[in-house]
This record gives sequence, structure tokens and C-alpha cells, in this order.
Amino acid sequence: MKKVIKTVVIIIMSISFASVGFTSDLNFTLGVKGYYNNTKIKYNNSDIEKTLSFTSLALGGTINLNDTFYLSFYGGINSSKFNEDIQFDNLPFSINIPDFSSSGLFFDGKFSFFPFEIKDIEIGGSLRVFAIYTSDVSWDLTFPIVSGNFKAHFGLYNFVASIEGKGDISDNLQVQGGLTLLKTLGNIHGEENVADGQLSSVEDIDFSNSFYPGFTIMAKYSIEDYLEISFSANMLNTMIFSLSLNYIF
Amino acid sequence: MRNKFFYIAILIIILAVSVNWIKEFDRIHDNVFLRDNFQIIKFTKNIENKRYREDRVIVKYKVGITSLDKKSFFEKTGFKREIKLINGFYLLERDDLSIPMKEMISKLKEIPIIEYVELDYLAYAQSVVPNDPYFTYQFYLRSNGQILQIGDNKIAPKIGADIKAPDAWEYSKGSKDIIIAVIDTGVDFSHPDLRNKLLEGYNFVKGNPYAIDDNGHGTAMSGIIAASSNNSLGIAGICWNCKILPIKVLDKNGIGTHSNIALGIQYAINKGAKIISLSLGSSSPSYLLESAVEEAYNKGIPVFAATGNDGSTSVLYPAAYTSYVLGVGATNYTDKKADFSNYGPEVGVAAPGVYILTTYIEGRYVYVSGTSPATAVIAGIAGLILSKKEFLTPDELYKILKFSADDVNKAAYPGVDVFIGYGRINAKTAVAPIILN
Repeated sequence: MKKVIKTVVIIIMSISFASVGFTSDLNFTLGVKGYYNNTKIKYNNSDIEKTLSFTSLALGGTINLNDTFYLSFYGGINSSKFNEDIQFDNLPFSINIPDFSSSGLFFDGKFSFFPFEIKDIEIGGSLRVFAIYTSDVSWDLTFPIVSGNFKAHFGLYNFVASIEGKGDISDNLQVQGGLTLLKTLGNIHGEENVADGQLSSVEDIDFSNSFYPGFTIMAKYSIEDYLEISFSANMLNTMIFSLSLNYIF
Repeated sequence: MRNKFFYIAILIIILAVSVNWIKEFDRIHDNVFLRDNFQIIKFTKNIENKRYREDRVIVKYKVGITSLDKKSFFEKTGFKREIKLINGFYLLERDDLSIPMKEMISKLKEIPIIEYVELDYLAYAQSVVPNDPYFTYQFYLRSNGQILQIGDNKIAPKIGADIKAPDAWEYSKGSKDIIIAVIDTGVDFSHPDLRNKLLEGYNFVKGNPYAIDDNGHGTAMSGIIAASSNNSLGIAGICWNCKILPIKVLDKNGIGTHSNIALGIQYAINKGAKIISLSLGSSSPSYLLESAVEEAYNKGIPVFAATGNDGSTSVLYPAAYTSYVLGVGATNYTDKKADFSNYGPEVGVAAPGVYILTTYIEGRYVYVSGTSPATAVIAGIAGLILSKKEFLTPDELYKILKFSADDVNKAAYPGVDVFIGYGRINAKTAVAPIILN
């Protein structure tokens, strides 16, 4: 998993830096971005499907190279919740968490490029990765004589590839739309410890979805020449909404 | 420029607010014999289950009745209080229970102001209840107020002095892949409540493949562990779908040699048993016996053994080989240590072991008492667990059974004690997932 993420990030960054090398026209924005994400996840080797919702708040920015290449990084915090119960059946004592909520870190990286232009519409594509990694949530386990605890966290990674087009509606408003292909990978990690380690075990529930098709839309509105607000949505199987306020340098 | 600072200030405030968002478990001399108490049962009407409240009834009055009609009705029937329910239904309560409620119902139906009347039936928490007709006598599986007829005596087991089997069955009814070796006196292969659950075993007493029970003890243990359940016949076994590998090492008197027991254990290992149940014991230590249980343990097979029925401080072997075996003591129908149950630091856990209804030779059923049936109870529960978690090591399984046991004598001996070890086994806690909120 980590290798996959690392590879994607390296590819995005390599392309970006290579692009920088070929241009002298560099602009960038900095801002704050809020996210709402509703992702369906499927346990590996199973028909079990769960839904994870998370909201995130992140800081970051976008580098614009020649109005052709765009590289954005946003990092922040998230609050996540599984909408169905999560059960660990491969621990000595099975654990069921009806309402698994957690918080942790969030990362959103995207590389877009628009090399073609047909009439006034710029055509291109993008590669995007969303990653969340939550901190441990701990519960006490109480038995008649001994006690123990259980802690769990999870990580989720959405990879989105898309073909997009964008155009200006007015001087202040730009819209963007396209078709997407989304892949979700992740892992829920649980650790059980009873009677001061006399009985302990870990279980990892891995999940991986097929590639889900969807579509994306985005609108960007310039409030001032140095300030813009933008909204984006990725929809169908997985819903990703974001709203950002950016300062343009 | 002033606008720029304004928007930057907004960004900083949003970030500052967001930082707060991150948070986080017979006796013997040189041979082995069993001295469990067997009582062939006669089933009569010896069960008293409450199905409805005797002090309440639900009624609906006819339209247009007056308060005088009601007053007359209450004086005539002896009801004292009235509670309005929903949709025109009322709950009537009485203190005088001299007239059975069913008889009262008939009388109420004849009273002109009553349009409708019904009993206030009791509803119970849903759990898996098998349709085996004798299940209601198996208080050790679910003790909910039934009365047992033992000989001329009526016994009222304490409510809750059971292993909570129906609750455990919600999560596991066992797997046919879990083979439980019953190393004992053999089994009645023709018993209707067992014949579909048996694998071909071996008779080390006679040296042939026919592990036929000529004593009854092994048949009794097998029934506790895995009699056919929910088959509208006889009793319910604890591990509904587990298979029994009968291995006869004890003769018709319930006596056997260490050598045959060791051979039986090795046979069980070689035949793929996942659990070994030893409802037997010897007062003499044996390196051979220890070696046999050690081999089973090292091959991932949990071994359960009876602590003995002398009521003494001498826990028998192999139960005393606690490095490899979980020694099982017995509790009685009041959830206290059974008087006969041997005790000592070797007792890991306890299970109900008094008036345990089970199968017997010649197709019969018996009540049996001893640490033997207690051991069988544990073996059955272990079958439920391993059916779901075959990856568990014997040591992990022993700990699950111990840690989940109810400390039923905590008032006098809180914590682990020499009498019942960690406590009386609780199948629900051992099997069902822990729900975290």
C-alpha cells in the first residue's frame, strides 16, 4: 500500500518538477479547503461492503505552470465515521464496533494537465490521490476477573484518474467537468490486549474496490484578482465534495 | 491591500479553530475408573415455564359503558387497578391470584361490558432455542426457572446457573470440520441422538475398530458435547455441527490403563481431532500420560480433563498437567462449586456438573453428575469457538475460556481461586463478539 502511494506521489512530483523545468511562467495559490467524502469500501475476498464518511479541513496550494500544468497539494485533519458496524472476527475475543469514528490526518494531491484546446475549451486529464490515516481509538475491555483494551485505526486511499475539459463562463467564473475512474484501497487495523498481554493479537481488515466509473465537476469563481473560491464534486459510487478558498500569488 | 489582510486573517482563524478538531477449564488408583453419578430419567410433567402474567390481563371495553358499569365490574372480578394502553386497550391488575388467570379469562368473556380479552403474555429476548424436546431439562445450557424431577425430588436450578448456550449459538453452532475426540468408554453408535454425529473410532481395550460403549459413560459425554441438535428429538448437544471421534480406552467398568489412554490420545492426534476431551483421571502421575498430552498441545490440539470427584485437594492426572491441559471442575445447579469436585491450583475453570441431562446407552437419556460432564461441557464450548477460530492455539483457547468465565463465587473468593479457578464457564462471553460503544 505504502509503495503504491509512494509511487503515485513520486510520479506526480516528477512530472511537476519536470514541467517546472520547461517553463518560466509560474503562478501559485495558497488556501484552505474543506472536504466531505462518502466512500464505499469492500472487504478483500468478501462480499461485505461498508460506507465510510469523512470530513476534512486542509491547507495547501496549487502550482500553475503556463496555464497548462497544475499541481496541488493539500494536507490537514479529518474526522471519519463508518456508517455500518465493523467486526474483527480473527482476534481471540471477537470485537464489534457499531459506530467506529476516528480522526487523523488527510492528504490530497492532484496533478492536472490541459495540453489541448478546442475552441475555447481546454482538454486534458488529471491524476489524484486522497489519503487519510487516523489515530488509534481505544476501548476498555472488561471481563469478570481480568481486563484489557482494544484499539483500532484505519487508513484509506482513493486514487482518481480523469479526463476533463474546462472553460470560462465569464471573466470571474470557470467551470470544469469530466469522467473519472476511481480505485479505493485501505486497511482497518485492530489490536487486542487482555490481562496485561497474556492474550494479545492483531487483525488487519484489508479492503480494495474495483475501479468505479464516475464523473467530476468543478467551478471556480474569482472574488478578487488575488482571491478565488472553488467547488468540486466527484460523484457516483464515491462522493467527494470540496470547497476551497485560495489566495492567488 | 487592506482586503488582502482581511482574507488572510479569515484563513488563520479557520485554521486555529480546526486545530481543536484533532483528537483519540472417579477417582483412581493405578488404573482409571470413573465414579460419576448416573440417574436414568423418567420424563413426567416436570417443567414449569412462565408464559404469561398471572396478575394481569388485557381487555377492551365495549363502547358506551359508564363509570358505574366499571365500578361494578371491578367489584365483581377483583381487579384493583386499570392502566390505559393504546387504541382502546386497558391493562387490568389484581392482587388476589386465587383464580387462575386462564379461568378468569373465561369469566371475563361472559361479562357484557367486555368486548375483547387476552392474556398478558411474556416475551423473551431472542436467542437460538433448539426444538429438541428435552432441551428444557438441560438447565446447564439455559437455566430460566425450570423445575427438574430427579427421582422423587424436585430440583429448581438457580436461574442463570448455566453456560448461556442459546446466546452463544447465535454466533456459532459449530462446524463439521471440528472433530472432538472423546477418549472414554466408547459410544452407543445406534443412539438416535448421536448416530449422525459419529466418526469411526477405535477400541484400545479390545484392539479393534469398534469403539462400542459397554458402560454408558462415553455415550453420556458425547451427548453433552455434540448430540444432534434442533432435530426434534431428545437433547441438544452444545456443538451442533461438530463431529465426535469415539476412542475407547476404558472398559465396561470405566477402568483403563495409562498406556491405553496415551495410545488413544495419539490416535486422536493422527485422526485429525481438533479437541481432546478426557472425562477421566488418575491419582498417579505418569510421564507417559504427560508426554501424550504434551504432544497434543504442541500439535495445536487443546486437551480438557476432569479434576476428579473426591471433593479432595488432589487434582487428578492428566488434569494436573496444567502446562498442556485445562483442568475442569464442576459447579452445581445453584452455581456453586459441586461438593465432589476436587480442587487445587490446577483447576482452570469450572462448568455445570450436577444433574446434567445427556444421552445414554440403549437409546436412553440420563442425568449425570461429576467433573466428567463438566469437562464435556467445556469441550463442547471449545468446539463452538474453534469452529469460528481454528487459528487459535491451545493456550489462547484456554485463556479465552478462563477470562470469559463468570466469577460465581466472588463474594467469598474474589478472583482466581482453587475451587473453580477463573469461574464457571460462560459460552456467550467466550463466543459472542464484544460490542464496543
